Amino acid sequence: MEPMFWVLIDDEGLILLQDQQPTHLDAEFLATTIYMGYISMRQAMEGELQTQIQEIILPTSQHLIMIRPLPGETLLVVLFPEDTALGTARLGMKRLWSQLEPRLQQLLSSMKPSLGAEHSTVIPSRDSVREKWESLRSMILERAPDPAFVFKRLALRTGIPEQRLISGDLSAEELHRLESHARTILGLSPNAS
Amino acid sequence: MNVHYPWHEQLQRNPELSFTTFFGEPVVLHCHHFNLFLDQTIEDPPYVPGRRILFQNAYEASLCLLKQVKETLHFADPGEAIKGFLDLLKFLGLGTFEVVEPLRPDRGRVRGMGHYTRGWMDKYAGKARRDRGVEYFVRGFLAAGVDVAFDLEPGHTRVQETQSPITGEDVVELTIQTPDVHPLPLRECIGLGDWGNLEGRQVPQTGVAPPFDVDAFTTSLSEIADQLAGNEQGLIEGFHVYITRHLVRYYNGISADFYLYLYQHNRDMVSIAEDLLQESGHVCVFHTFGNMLADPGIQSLAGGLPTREHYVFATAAIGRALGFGDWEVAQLEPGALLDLQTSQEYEGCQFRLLQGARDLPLFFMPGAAAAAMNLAYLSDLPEGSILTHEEYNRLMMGERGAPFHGRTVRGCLKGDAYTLVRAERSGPS
Repeated sequence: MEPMFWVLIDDEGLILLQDQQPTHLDAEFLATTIYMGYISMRQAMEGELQTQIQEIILPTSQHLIMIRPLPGETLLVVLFPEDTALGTARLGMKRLWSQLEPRLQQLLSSMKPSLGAEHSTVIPSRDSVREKWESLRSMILERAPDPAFVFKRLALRTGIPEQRLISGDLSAEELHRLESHARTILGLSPNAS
Repeated sequence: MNVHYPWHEQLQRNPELSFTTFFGEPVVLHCHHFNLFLDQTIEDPPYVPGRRILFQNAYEASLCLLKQVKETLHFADPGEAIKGFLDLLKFLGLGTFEVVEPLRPDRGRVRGMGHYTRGWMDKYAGKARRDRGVEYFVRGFLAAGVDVAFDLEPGHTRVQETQSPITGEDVVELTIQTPDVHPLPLRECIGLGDWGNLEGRQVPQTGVAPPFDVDAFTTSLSEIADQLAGNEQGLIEGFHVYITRHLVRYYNGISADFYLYLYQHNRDMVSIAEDLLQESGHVCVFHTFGNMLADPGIQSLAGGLPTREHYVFATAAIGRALGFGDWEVAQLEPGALLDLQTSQEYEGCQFRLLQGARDLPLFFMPGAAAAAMNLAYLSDLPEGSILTHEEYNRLMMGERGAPFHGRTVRGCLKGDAYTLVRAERSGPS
C-alpha cells in the first residue's frame, strides 16, 4: 500500500521535504500541528516514563498516521488510508524509507546539528505538592532576573493558568513541569537545589 | 576587508507622521531589552511553534528588505552582495559577522557576535540558562541573503545557529543548510502598507498644552536618531542599552502570528501572552527612554525637564523621534492617568494588512504609556542617573506603589479613526 502523503519536519516545525503528489491537505498546518503534538508527547514520555519514542501510530477516522522521529531532531510523518492494515502500513513505511533514505541521509548529514539540548528532567519531590510549590515560589522570587513577570512566564510556558500558580492548586505532574521550567529560567542545573 | 555602503542615504523620515523607512521598508529603533523579551515570550511556550514563527518572520522581513537593497545597489556578483548584506547588518546594529566558509547556495558559515547574543549575555549571563542561541533574526536575514544574492527561489535556504557564547562557545556561528528543502510558505511584501495614508484617519485636537516646545525637542532628537549606526562591533550603543534599527515587518509578524496561534489553539493563555507582549514595550521604554531622560545632553535639548509632567511629554517626543508614530499626549492627570494618541502606530494598521486580522490588541504602545507614567511618577531620575534592572524590578514589584499598566482604548484594528492608549495605576498608590 502506497502512502497517501508524507512530510519530513525539522526541529522547528518547518517542512524540509514533502511528497509532491497533489493533495487537498494543508501540509504546513499538518506539519505544525503534528510537530507540536509530538513535542508534548515526547516531554511526557521522557519526563514521566524516562523513555524515548521510536514510532507513533495514530489511527484516525480518515487516515492511519505513522510518525517516526529521525536523527537531527527531524520527524517523518506518513499518511495511509484509514482502512490500511497495520502490517501493510509498516511495509509501505519500509518501502518509502528505502526510497527516501539516500536523500534523507544526504540531507541530514549536510545539516550540522543546531544548538538545543534534550529537555532536562527533574525528579518530583516527595513533599506535598502545595508545600513544595510554596518553597519553590520563594526561591523563584528570590532568584528570578525578572521577578515581576516570572510567574506569567511560567504560566505561559507550562499552560497552567496564573490563578492556580497563585493559589497553589496544582497536580504533582504540574509541579514537576513548573520545577523544570523554573530551573531553566533561573539558570539552575537539573539537580541543583 | 569590510565594504561600506552609504546606508544613511536610504533612510527616509516622514516628520509629520513620525515614521522612517529604509529602502522602502518601515523601521523603528528598539533596544535589546525589547528584542530579547519579545523573542523570549514567543519562544517560551512549548505548545506554540515559536521558533518557527521567529525564523519564518525573520526570513520574510529580511527578504522584503534585501530584494530592495539588491535592486538599488546592483551588486557585481553574489559574493559582493553577501558582503553588502553583512555590512548592512552591522549598520542596523544587529552585529558583525565574518565569512569563515564561503557562502554558496548549499553551504557556508559565518562567525561573529550579534546584538541579541551580546544583549542576552549582558542581561542574563549567570542568572538564566539556555540550551540554544538567540539569533533568530540574523539566521533569517542570512538565509534570505543567500537566496537573494544567488537568485534562488525564495524560501529554500535554512540557517542554523551552531555555536553560541550562551551555550559556552566563544562566538556565534551560523551555518547554511542545504537548499534542497521544501520552501517556506512566504507572504507578500507590503512595504509601508497603509502607513501614511490618512484617508479615514482623524485625530482629535487634544487641547493639552505641553509645558515646553515639544516639536523642537522632537526635531533635535530625530536628528540624533537618524545618525545612529552600528560601530565596528556592529552594535549601536547608547543610553546604557544596545539599540537596533529593526524591521517593523518582523515585529508585527512575530507578535501577530504568536497571538493568533494562541487565540486559535490555547485561548486561556491569550491574556497572559498579551501581558507579556506588552511588557516587552514597557521594559524597553523604561530603560531606553528613562536613560535618555536622565541624560544631561538630552535634558538640555528640551531646555531642562524640571517637573514630572515634563517627563511625560518628553516620552511622547522620544517615541516620535524613534519612529513609532506621531504620539501626542491627549490627557494627563498627574500621577493618575495618561492618554497617548496617534494617527497611526507601527503595530496596528500593519497587523491588519499582514494578517487580515481584526481585534488584535496593541502591545508596544500601551506598554510604552505605562512606562511613561512609571518613569515620571514612580522613579527618581536625577540628572546623570542610570536606570538599572534592579531598580526596574523594585518598581515593578510595587516597592514604590502600584505601578501603571496600559491598555488600548481606540485603535485602527477596531475600525477607529485614530489610536488611543491609556495608562492607569493597577492598584492604590
